[in-house]
Amino acid sequence: MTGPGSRLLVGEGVCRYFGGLKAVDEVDFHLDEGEILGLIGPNGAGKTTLFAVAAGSIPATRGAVRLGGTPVSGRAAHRSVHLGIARTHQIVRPFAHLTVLENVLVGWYYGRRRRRPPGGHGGRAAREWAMEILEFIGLADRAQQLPATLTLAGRKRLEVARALATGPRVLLLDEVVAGLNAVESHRLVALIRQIRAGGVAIIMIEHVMQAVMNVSDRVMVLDHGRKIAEGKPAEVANDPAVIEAYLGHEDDGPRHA
Amino acid sequence: MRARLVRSGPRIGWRLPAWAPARTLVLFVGALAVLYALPLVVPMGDYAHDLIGLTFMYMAAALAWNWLGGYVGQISFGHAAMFGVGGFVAARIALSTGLPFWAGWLAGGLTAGLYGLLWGHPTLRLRGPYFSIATIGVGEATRLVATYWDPFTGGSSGLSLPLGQGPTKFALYWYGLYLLAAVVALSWWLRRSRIGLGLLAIKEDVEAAADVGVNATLYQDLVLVLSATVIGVCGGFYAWYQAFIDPQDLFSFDRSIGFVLMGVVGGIGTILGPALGAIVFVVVQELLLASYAQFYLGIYGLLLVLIILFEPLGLSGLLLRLARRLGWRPAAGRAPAIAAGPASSASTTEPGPGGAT
Repeated sequence: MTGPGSRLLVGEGVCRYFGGLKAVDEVDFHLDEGEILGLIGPNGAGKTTLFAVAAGSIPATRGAVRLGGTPVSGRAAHRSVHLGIARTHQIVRPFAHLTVLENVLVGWYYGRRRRRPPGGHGGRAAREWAMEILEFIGLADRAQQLPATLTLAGRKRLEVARALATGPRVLLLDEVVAGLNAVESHRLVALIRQIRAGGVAIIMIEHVMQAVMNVSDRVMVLDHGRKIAEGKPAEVANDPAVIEAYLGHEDDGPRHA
Repeated sequence: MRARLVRSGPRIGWRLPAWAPARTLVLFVGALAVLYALPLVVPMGDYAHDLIGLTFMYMAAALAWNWLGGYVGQISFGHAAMFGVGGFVAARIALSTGLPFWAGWLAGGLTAGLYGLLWGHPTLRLRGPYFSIATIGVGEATRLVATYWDPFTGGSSGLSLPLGQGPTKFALYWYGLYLLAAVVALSWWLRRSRIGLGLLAIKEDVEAAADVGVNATLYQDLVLVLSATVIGVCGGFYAWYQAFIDPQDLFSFDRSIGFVLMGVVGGIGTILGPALGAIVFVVVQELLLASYAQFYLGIYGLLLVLIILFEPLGLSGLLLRLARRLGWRPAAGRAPAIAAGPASSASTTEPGPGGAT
């Protein structure tokens, strides 16, 4: 096992083309142990596609993503979960007919390949574990309800809880703060920090700049599938290329590729 | 951890798996005993006796169809293919070898299970109507091959089973009961164990299930193989029941539709539902088929329309409503039963996910 600061997830020359569209083009990235990496960029920049490749949902056209040296891209999605990469979806996808607790239990039972519930024995220990995760995430009092009864913030939390239940080493959060009000997003950011404190490295896609700049150790910017900047949040925010990508060119002329 | 377990209830020396609570088990064994003794205690005519035996088989088949149709949500219109494969393999074994009849059932079931895997593995990645259409193709193709494969199936003239080598119709009552009991237990396990939770997740959203680590391909294949095996054994049962089988009957599209109807009429996805549906199916068929042969499919069609319009959960949905009206309240959340996992030996204690500890 590697210590803090060492490379955990590494992407080398990752490309993903949809026909002629280069959704992700030659992107190198890395995520260290215990780090929060912010992934930002205008709409259509390829952020979610990069997530899908890293999570193994879709194969890379070229390049590779490795977790601690093991290739993860191009495998079935459930296998990367077993390796320790869990993701949430931008549009939440709870199992609508399962209770909140059952949603988390699915992650608990199926996210780990060899590990058994602590205490070993069957249902009860797993339930208590799932309840602990729900308490941590702040949904314990909703355990027996259906996801439809939760607010958007609640469903986003559930999405995170379900991913956490799989026992990930890397958590990919796709716009978990977007759409929440100021109080809710503040709470969720605090939660993300706590998750990191628990030893999970995080990549988060986010449009809410305040949230992502606040919580990230490092920020990476994608535009038209290419990485255009990377660095400390403050540096990136003042990077001319980033400002151009978001606000357009000064002359309002044709964009330089 | 131990303290927690003690708090949540008295512990006994040996544990039942969490998916089979004691009360359910008692009910199950009780029902089994009553049905076992019924023909010995209550005098009933041969007709009723045989018909109940046949109904047991249809209940088992409907439940097995429901594993795929109800638990994972993949509606198959081709289960007659496995029914026929099981029936003809059983008949062939009885005719060409001296093996006992149950070996034929077993072989028929296993062949049907493998056949299910053969077409199911590639088609199960389709979902919803696309999968259903593929199963219609599988069913019809199998029927045509069986009809023209004279040396094996006897072609359109069918096969007669060697009576005297197998169970009598009278004895089939109990074999049907054993089959049903095994299938009910399997249904319960598939529904209530942690596997059931994974299957529900697949039914809800395959991709989201994969994103929390459920191997959808593996579990769907597994359920189909189980379902196909049981349907195959049912085919073997049917072969001995009829003593004469022909491909146009065993592989018929009507039969595939029959399995769907039993599931839908009774209530898809439940345990009780398909069993009830099978009873209704047999009764309606017996009452109407003799006198109004053209009529009975129309009745089913009408039933189907009414159910889909008014009570998607079928008969079990109606029962649930009735029970609620009579004041019965389900326990708060189905979680305890569904979530409980099967017994597994205590092993390593691992730290949990990130901040959750």
